[in-house]
Amino acid sequence: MKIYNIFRSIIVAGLLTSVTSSCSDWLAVDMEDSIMEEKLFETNDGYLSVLNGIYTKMNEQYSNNLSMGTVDVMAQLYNIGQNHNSYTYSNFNFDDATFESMSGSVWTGLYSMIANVNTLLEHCDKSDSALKPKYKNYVKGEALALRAMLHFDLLRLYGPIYSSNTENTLCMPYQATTSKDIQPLESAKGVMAKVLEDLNAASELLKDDAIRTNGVMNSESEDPNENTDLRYRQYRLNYYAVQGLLARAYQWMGDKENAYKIAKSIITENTEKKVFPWTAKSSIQGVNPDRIFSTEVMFGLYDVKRANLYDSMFKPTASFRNCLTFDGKTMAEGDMSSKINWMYSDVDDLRRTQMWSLETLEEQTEYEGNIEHQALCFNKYADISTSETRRYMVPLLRMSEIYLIAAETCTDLTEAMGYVNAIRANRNCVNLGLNAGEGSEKVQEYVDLEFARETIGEGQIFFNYKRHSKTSVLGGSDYDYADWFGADVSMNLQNYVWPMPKVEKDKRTNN
Amino acid sequence: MRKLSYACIIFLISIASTTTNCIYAQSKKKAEVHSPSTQGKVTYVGKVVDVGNEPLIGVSVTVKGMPGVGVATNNDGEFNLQLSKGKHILVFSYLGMKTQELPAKENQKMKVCLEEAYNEIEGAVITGIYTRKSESFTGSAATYKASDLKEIGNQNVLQSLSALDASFNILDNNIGGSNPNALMDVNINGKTSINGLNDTYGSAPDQPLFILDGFETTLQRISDLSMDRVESITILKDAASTAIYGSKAANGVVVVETRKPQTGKLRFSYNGNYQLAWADLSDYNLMNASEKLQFEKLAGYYGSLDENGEILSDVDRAVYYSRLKNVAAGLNSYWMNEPLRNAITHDHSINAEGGDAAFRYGLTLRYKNTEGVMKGSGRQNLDGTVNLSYRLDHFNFSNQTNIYYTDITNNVVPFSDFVRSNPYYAKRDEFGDVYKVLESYETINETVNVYNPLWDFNQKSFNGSNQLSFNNNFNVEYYPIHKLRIVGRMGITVNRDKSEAFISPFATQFTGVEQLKRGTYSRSDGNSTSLDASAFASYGDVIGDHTYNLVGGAQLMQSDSKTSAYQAIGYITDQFYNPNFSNGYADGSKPSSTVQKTRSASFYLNANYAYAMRYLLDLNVRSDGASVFGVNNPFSSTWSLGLAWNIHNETWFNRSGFINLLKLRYSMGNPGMQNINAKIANNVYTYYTAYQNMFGLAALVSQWGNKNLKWQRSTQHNFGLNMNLFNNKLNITADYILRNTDPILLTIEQPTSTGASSIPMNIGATKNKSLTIALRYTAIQNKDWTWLLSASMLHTTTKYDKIGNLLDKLNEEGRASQTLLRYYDGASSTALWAVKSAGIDPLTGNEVFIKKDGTYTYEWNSSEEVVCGDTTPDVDGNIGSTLRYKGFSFGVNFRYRYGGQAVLSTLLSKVENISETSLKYNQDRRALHDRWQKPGDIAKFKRIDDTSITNVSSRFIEDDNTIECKSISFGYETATAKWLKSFGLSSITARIYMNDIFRISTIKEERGLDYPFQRAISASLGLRF
Repeated sequence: MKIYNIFRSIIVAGLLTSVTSSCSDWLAVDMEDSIMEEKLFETNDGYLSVLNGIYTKMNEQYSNNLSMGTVDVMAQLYNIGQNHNSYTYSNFNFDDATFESMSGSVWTGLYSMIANVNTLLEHCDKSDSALKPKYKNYVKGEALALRAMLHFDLLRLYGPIYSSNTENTLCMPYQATTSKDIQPLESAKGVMAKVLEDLNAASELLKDDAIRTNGVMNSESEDPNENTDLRYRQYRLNYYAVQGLLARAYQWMGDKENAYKIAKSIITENTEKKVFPWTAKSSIQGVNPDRIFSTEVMFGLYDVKRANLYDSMFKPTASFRNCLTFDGKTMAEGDMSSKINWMYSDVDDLRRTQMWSLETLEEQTEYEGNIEHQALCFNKYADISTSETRRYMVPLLRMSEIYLIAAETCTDLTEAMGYVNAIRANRNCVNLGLNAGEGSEKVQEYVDLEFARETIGEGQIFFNYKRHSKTSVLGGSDYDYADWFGADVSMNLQNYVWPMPKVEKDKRTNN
Repeated sequence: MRKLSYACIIFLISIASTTTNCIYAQSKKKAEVHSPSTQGKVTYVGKVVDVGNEPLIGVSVTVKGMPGVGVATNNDGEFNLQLSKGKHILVFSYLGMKTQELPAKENQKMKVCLEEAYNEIEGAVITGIYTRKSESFTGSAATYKASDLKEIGNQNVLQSLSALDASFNILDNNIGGSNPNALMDVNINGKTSINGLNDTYGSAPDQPLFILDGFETTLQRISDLSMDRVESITILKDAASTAIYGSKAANGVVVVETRKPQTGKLRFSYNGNYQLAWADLSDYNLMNASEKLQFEKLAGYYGSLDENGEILSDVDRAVYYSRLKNVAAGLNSYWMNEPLRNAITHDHSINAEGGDAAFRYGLTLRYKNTEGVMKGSGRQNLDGTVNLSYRLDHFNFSNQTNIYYTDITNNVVPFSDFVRSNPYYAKRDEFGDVYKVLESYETINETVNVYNPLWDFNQKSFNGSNQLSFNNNFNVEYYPIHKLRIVGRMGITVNRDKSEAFISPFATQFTGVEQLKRGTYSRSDGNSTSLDASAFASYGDVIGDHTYNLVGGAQLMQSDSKTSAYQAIGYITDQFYNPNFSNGYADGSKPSSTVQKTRSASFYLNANYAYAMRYLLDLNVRSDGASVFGVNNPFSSTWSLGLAWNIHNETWFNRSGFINLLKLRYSMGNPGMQNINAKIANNVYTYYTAYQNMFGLAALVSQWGNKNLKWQRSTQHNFGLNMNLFNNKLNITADYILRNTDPILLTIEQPTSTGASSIPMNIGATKNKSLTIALRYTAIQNKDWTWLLSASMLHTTTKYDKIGNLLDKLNEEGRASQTLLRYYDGASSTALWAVKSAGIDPLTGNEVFIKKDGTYTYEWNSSEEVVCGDTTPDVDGNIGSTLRYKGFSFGVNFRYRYGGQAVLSTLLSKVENISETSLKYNQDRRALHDRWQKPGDIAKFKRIDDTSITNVSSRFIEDDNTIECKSISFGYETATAKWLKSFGLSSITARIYMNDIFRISTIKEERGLDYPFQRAISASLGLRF
């Protein structure tokens, strides 16, 4: 009996000991509807999915607000009446709740992507990182480039018009760690220094980017063993895109020398390797026209919902109060009551003929029924039925911008006009030359015009105006009177600087 | 890992100690039982039976004062014991039965009847894991029997509990009123969390842990529990008593034990509870039609007036006179009655039970239908319980199966919509059809429609849910030797719930919405499974002056829950709400799903030692590992220490004097909080599917965590006193409890440049002090008469500590949004902050404020705010009296609060601060009668035509001293009356109640905004056949 009892207690105790020792394993529970950070970064795929997460998340802010939408509206491109839903933006009503909420969402959205980037970078740098060597430079390089690009875009919105007078203005924090402590505001100069630092580091990591040898690889590989992770380089911040951003950043700071140097080297390398070849006129005009000149895009987003944006913002059947159109009732050459003739001087310009059409829009009113309006509709993002990825592309950086940076920063005027005319030739426009007495100002005028034609719908024109502190810009409305007064509208310089949103300002305890 | 090995050691010690004791005790026992002596013997014989006259086998029969001498009863329940001649006291003890001591009788066959032991509540503390004599217990606990609870009310055990124990608070739900579906906000001895920031983690941070028959359960389950199934409720209040529940016990523990079947022949009983309730509208003080019109005119709703008091604007004048015409014709609609009804609640349960000493069974079937006083709101419960228990040798098996179904319907239109409707609108047209729009008028920007709340009320919109739960608890007890008990428990609970809400496409909220988007149907389905397995061993013995008890055990729990939800929109008609008839998902919405899985493992040890029942010591150690604590360190340990001194057991103490019992207690410990979700320590990613691309998965952080978080902990000290005076007639229990919660875990809003709009942080601490005193006085006690008086009070304060300026942003926001709660070190968490007011200037009708330096000003400035009150009263508690004469009993119970203040939000929002938009709703009469109208008026409220924002000042804070009658009850019970037989009854219990029948308060404030409070009379009937 006694032995039996002892025996029994030993069994019980032994059993319980084994239970307790396996307890910690038992307590490690995985979530089914989400993943803990540590778990996600246990695999190489985890790293890639986080990187992909940031790129796809960019669609939320860039596809709409920062490319074809809000910032272009602010550049006074479209005809926005008082009852238009975008009037708050075109009229710079910074105090309006609509603006506040949009601005808050841009600020919060971009910084949240930055925080995701920083978490990814932290894991990349761990000694026991699960990231495979083959991917390491890509993931880390692209992550650094993303961090730089997101900060740079925030600075272009919320920072001052960059100059030696304003570069010390404190405007925003630069988040370079995973710390959730409130970071101090940096000066514009400080932000740019860090942007350059990140871009240079990214450039160094990406110097062996396969895009430099194999091109953009915009298709599945023929090798069934190769996955897509390092293909489709146009949709990733590839080596050239990073170089392009560097050129853009130097240009923003007014550092013409460096901007030119980089732009020039991109052009030289691209001319040789044809990574981003000019889009053939035949494909611009063909069935499923390539209106975004997709082959020239150095970096773009992949937005499967692009057609929805087009439907709500540009399509003639879109709600009248939402539709972004050019003022004008004709496409006829020389009719100055149509904005299209102010924007495009060549009647055969492919950007004019392929991107615009005269349409009838219906406005629904409460008392007067439906009113019809004629307007010029923007077709750049009209949906096409092709299996090519360009169907969903939202361009954020293109070769022609590099040409125009080179043209603007080049000291040789003939060389500069060469860059401008290279673009024009591919858009079916006549060659431009400088007349006697015309100097760099005329070149700049041509550059700005070409810049607007190239990047309309891509959210860059507003920043171009801001960079040049333009106090008068081509207007969007009232072209009926355009002949008499010219088409420019004046622009208050304060309009170029978005105020810090309340989600930030009101929660900063120390400022 | 260290924590883990620590936990293992604790457990091994507990196992080792219990097993060695077991071996030691057994060998000792065996050795002595077999030591025969046969000189001068007398043989004592007898038979032991249970109350059902069934023989009990294996009852241990020992002799008092002769350790080791004893026998066990045979298969017929008979025993045969040879002892030396002389007087002997025989001790009959049997598992689960009350131990009996009887003098041994020679030459006579003794017949001994043992009773069930678990009825022994008086003088015991039931912790859900072990039961201990309260005399040997060092913690602070209070136990209430079913009959105590039922003397207060027959609807809800928790309501009754709060009327009996001042520590147990149910906070008034001023929004939800007496809504039968509103979950109660309960706490023990006051709140320790940071006030106003409770919603951060979903679950209520001050809610105690609920244990039902040894298994963890939910507040809702206890709230739905039938009164007639309850055997007892124990509230464990301090660290020494709650520490056995470790990291979940910081807010106290409520232990509910249900009735177990009694032995005997098959018996039936019926219990019925009935209630009639009606809305308590005595706090509403609304204008009638002509008052409202007059008020609108004076308040400038119709624009400026000329010198004759005529409205200047033609349009406004026309509107005024069209309304006045209706009013003059006698239109004065009373809106509040429309959604209300007299609500009848009935609750029936039938119970069958029986069995013998070895096998017992009990079956209960219950149906309860609760109607809310708002039409369309109600709650139905249907549940069935089967209790089985079987006893074999040293084993006792019991199993309880419970299936319950709850069906909930909620009113769709809040009560406040009716309260605010203007009395000068007609509800229905001449044919009795309800108007949709009461009035429609043009403003510069738009057409304004005033909608009839009755319209929405009459649509086929609904909001309801139901839940089906299955619960099985299995319990095995093993008594290898007399003093050792080993218990294994296994519980499984499966829940299926569904909630549906349909808003009719004809509802007023869809006016102006395009046809295809009108009407919504939302549905969510959840299912959850939880498992709870535990094993523990307890051993206790008395050796001379030393009494000791040891309990050691382990517990494993797992719960899985899944919820999925979707919303469909676009209905043409409200005849069919089935999503088949909808137009599709709402724009951009998709079905959602959440999955949650948690596990926990715990090890605990409780040791209790008493020397001569004078000096008592309790020690508890518990180690909890939980998946919710995050991955790196799943274990956290809690401990407690309790000391007590039973002064009345000292030899020098004269127990028959003025003081009959005197006990001092002290305990300390550090129970934790496990209400907090683990995810907050880690960044959590979700897969982002909105923009799919050729690169495959996209992951993004969905919730930012903070890796440096420390878990919220509280340190508790309890000083207690028990005293009986005047021949035990007066019984005093007092406890002083200090609870320091440090650090506190809060979600703090961040500037979004940090990447997150809010992150969890450790911030500051709270210091909670509470003093509870409970008095019971037996005024009369004799054969026929009993008169018991009881009174209790709770004084509690919670102060902030170590917050610094971290919450200054919240303070600023509070000032901006006119709330009165602020966060400063050393300040009470329920303090009301406002600028001091000197009242209304009779000359101008404007308010005069007092600055901090004592000077007067017309300017309101938030920086001049000071503490103007505190919503926590100085004391609150209960007073009760119970009078019994033979089978009759009469009880009265009051709840009081004194010394607290309240914000008069009705005054703030319906007497003043009536903005131009709210002018179109009905208002409190004081807005018309008590506001300043002309120079010289001594008014309490500012100028009547001032529609500007009134800033909060001390004018809107008043003393809130309240006494409310929770219950008056009258009952009768008998088991001996002769007439019972003729109905086939063995006993009858009947009782009538009036609940919340009156309430006297120093403030007049609208209560129950979305759902009114109710008053009720009820009755209960218990029949045993």
